[in-house]
Amino acid sequence: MFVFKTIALAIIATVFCVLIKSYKPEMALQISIAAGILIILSAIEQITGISKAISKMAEEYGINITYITVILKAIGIAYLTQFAAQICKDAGETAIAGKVELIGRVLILAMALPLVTVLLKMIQSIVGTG
Amino acid sequence: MDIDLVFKIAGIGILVAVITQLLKQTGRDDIAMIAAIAGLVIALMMITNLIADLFDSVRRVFELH
Repeated sequence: MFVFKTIALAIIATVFCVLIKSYKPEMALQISIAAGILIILSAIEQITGISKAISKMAEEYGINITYITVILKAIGIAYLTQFAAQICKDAGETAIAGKVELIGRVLILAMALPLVTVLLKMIQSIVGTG
Repeated sequence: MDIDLVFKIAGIGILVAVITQLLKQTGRDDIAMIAAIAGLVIALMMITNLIADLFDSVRRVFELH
């Protein structure tokens, strides 16, 4: 089963991190980064399957595909910024982590803005004001 | 699930730790520092390759071009 391999990798990497933290903290940080990336890379197949299923469903039920791509992009940006922010927090650099999260929010907001305008137009047309 | 990368980096970490301790005992602190930096650079090169893979796959999956 896939989940057992992930758990095994996570535990082994944590043990190595603790082992080396006392001698070389910077190497311990690198082990945790490597383990995190490996776990995510191994889950990429499932994620691609999910995103393809979502876009197929969207086409089936006539949802506009651009909305789905914006959602997927937002998820991607959110994941990457959270990944970097957690690494910075691990290393104790909470200030840098905060900056990365701020940038992530700004990027997602900038990307979602056109959707908001479409939504407001829709509401206006429904309410029929003017 | 290529876990050997974790083992490689852990190996480098342990080796660097041992070497630096050894060099410190014999009084050559500067060489110990150089060894530590060398170990760090090697591990960083591996990590950067891994990060490049991660970014490529995330870009492909989430269409983040």
